[in-house]
Parts: sequence; C-alpha cells; structure tokens
Amino acid sequence: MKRSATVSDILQILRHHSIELQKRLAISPLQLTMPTDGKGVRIKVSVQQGQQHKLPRMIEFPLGDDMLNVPLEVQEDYQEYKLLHLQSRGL
Amino acid sequence: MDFGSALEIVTKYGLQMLTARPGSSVTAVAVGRKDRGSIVGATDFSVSAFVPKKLTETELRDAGIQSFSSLYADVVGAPPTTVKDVDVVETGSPFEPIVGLVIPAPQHGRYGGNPPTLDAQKPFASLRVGIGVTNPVNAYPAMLSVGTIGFYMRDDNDNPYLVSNNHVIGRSNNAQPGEAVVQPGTLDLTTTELQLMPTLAILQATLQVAEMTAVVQINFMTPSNIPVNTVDVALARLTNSSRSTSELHRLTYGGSIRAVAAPYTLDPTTGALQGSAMVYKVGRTTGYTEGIVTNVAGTAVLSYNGNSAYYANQIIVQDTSDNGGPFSNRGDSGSGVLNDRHELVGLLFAGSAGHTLVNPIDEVLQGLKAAAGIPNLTVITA
Repeated sequence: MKRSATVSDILQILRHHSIELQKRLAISPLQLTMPTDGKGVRIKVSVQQGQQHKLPRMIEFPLGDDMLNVPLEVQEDYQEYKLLHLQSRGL
Repeated sequence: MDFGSALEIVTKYGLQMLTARPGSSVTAVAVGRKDRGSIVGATDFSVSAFVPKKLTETELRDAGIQSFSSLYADVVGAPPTTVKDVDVVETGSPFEPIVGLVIPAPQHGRYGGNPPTLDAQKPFASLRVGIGVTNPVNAYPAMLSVGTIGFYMRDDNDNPYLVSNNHVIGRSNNAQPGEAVVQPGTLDLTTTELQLMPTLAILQATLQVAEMTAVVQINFMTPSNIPVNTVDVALARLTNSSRSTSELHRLTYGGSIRAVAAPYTLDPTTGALQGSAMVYKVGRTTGYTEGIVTNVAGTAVLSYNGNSAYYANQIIVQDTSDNGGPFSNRGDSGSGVLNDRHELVGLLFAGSAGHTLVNPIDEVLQGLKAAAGIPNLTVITA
C-alpha cells in the first residue's frame, strides 16, 4: 500500500535501513537524521556544498508491505564527526 | 525597615552617601541586617555602610568624620526611624578591584591551561562521574591520552564498575581483560608527575583505579561490508585502590545521577520531542555544559586510527546559546549525558563543530550487559 511515512516509519528506516537508503540516494558523504522540531515528519539529509540539487524532496521507500512517501530535507551542512578523546606524545 | 524601603534608600541615596563629603570613610552602602544574620527569610532590614575601621564617637569627632547616622539624616532628609535602620560594618580595608591575577602556566598538566576551580582533570580521592581517565597500556609513556568516566554500574555481587567509551579505555577493541585503567588521565599529569612515574608499571601502581572487564566490539567497515554500530562503550571493574567509592553517582560539579531514562519520546504525529529537549553533561574538558537535542536516529561514519565505523541511531546535541562554549570537546569522550531531571539518557563519544553525537542509553546498557556476560548490571544512582 502506498502511504506517507509516519514518525515510526522514519525511525525504523533510519535505525534498520539507513545503508539501503544511502545507497539509493547515491551521494557520499552524507548524514541522515530525523529532526525533532515538530515541523513535519521527514528525514534530514546533510550533504556537502554543491550537492543539494542532486537530491529530490521526496523519495519512495519500501517498508514491509508498504511503499512509503518519505519527505527529505536536504541541507548543505555536512560536518565530519571526530572521536572526542585527547591524545598527545609524552615526554 | 522593610526590604523595599531599604532598597529604595540605597538606590536613591547610596552614591550621595559615598561622596557626601571629603573624609567620609564609607566605601560601600548596601541593604543588610543589623544583627548580621542571613538576609534569606529576613523581614527587618537596615541600610549598611561599609568602612575600613569602625570609630568611636570621640574618634569620629577628632577625625572630623560624620557618623553614618548623621550622614544618613543629611542625605535622606530624615534621621533613621530606629537604631536598627542603619548599620556600620568594619571591612578592615577599602574594597579594591582584583586586578592583575596571574596564573602560572601550565598550572596543571604538562600541556597547560588554566584549570577551573573544581577541576575534573586532577586526581580524585573520591571517584565520581565526569572525571578524566585513561587506559595507558601499550601507550604510556610515549603516548598520553584522556577521556571521561561517564557513569558507574554495579553487579549482583555489589562489585562496582566504571563506564567510558571503547576508544577511551577499550583501546578501540584491543584492550584485554585485566588491563589497568588510571585516574587522572595520563594527558593531565604534570611534567613532575610524568618524571616520577617513568614506566607503565609505576604509573599503574600509583594511579590504577580499575581493570578492564569488557568492550562492546566496534565493527569496522570493509570494502564489501558496512556493519552498523550503535554504541562505543567499555566497562572496567573498580579495583581496591585508595580511592573512595562512596559517591559514585555524584557528578563532579554537584548533583547526582538520579535514574536512567529513555533518551527521548516523540509526538507520534509531528515527531516533535516531548518534554524538555535540554540535556547536560559533565566532562573532563568542558566541565558541566548544556545542549539541546535537535535530531535523533542519526547516522555517521567515524574514523578509528585508519579504520572506519558506521554508526546509526545516534542522538544529535547542539550547543545552546547560553553555553558560552561547545557542549563537548576533545577529552570529553565517555561523558554521561543527562536530561533536565539528571536522569542518564546517553553516552557521548564524538563531535563536530557545534554538534555532539550521543549513544542512546538503552543501547549502551544492553551492549554492556551482553559484552560482559553480566545480565544484572545496574547503573549506580543516588
């Protein structure tokens, strides 16, 4: 059945199918998250500069027996994350 | 007099009282209590004048200085209604601005910095949450490092454990059970301390607080496979050191971990975070900071000394504008993340400019219990 993705669907996609989604979006690097601002159920896609136009605003994604319409919010705000320990050479 | 009247007099006439005439020894004026009790809960207040030295009436007369009661009457236009309406406080010296405070650098730790008043980077006689820690094996003394103790746990036999990141105390999967964990972190040792502990054996004998128990394996990416990780965490059992373990729930900067809670709940329709989105942490580098959860179920690729690991289901925390600095920085890895009720909701492990990645606590605890083979591990709370 075709339907709009719910919050629960988005979480399930991101938790268990994020790699599959990334392959479908075919841009690297990128980061996927679900914003918690209440401004609509969507997946936020963070990409590098110049990549935003390459992605659609909506994607169809299969989940279980359903084909979901998943809104995408694409922002060019990709930032690399680093581990937060601190190291240095000794004496 | 009541507080409002006293405040009005100080506000309206305070400057005149300080400058009324040359030779006045009043250096400050404020609302106070003549009996010098706490102003909290007080109902009867006075206008207090601060002077370097209280003088008798004779000494005042001889010095040509007006008494404060007389000065009050001149400036306000009426004498104090009762003797309790005015008070004179001897301070010993005039108030002076503290200028030119110089702290020798480095004051603590070989690599310098000005430590805060309560310093999470130093050795602690009583172990607590948010202080520095290192697994120095295969590194010390050539390489120094530090992360943060996020929280503590206990098993059915009442054995206590500390929890931090796998990349902090687990040597990114390479730690073996029994390896020593030391506090403070080796990067926070002074030059003198490093010279006094030139070998790993001496360091361990002096500063060991725990021994490695288990790590939750980080599964690295290969050309043909991208395993999904959700936590970067390890467990070390506290050893019989000289450190007190009576307040393991306590945060370095006050308060305690009160419970464990779900990291977030979401409105099922809008996806808005329900309840407060504010979170807090205590870490070795940035101390007590606040942030706001802006995104959940996040993905990211992290680099571990040339290996890459893919993470999913991460909580994203952004610095708040009131924070005055980042929510986290290098050295804060392993910090426990708390909600506004000081309930443990996550474990911090990575960051970018302006954002921090946090493992959700349910995944952390599930992973630790499985990795350690101890199903009844519980978080130590107040």
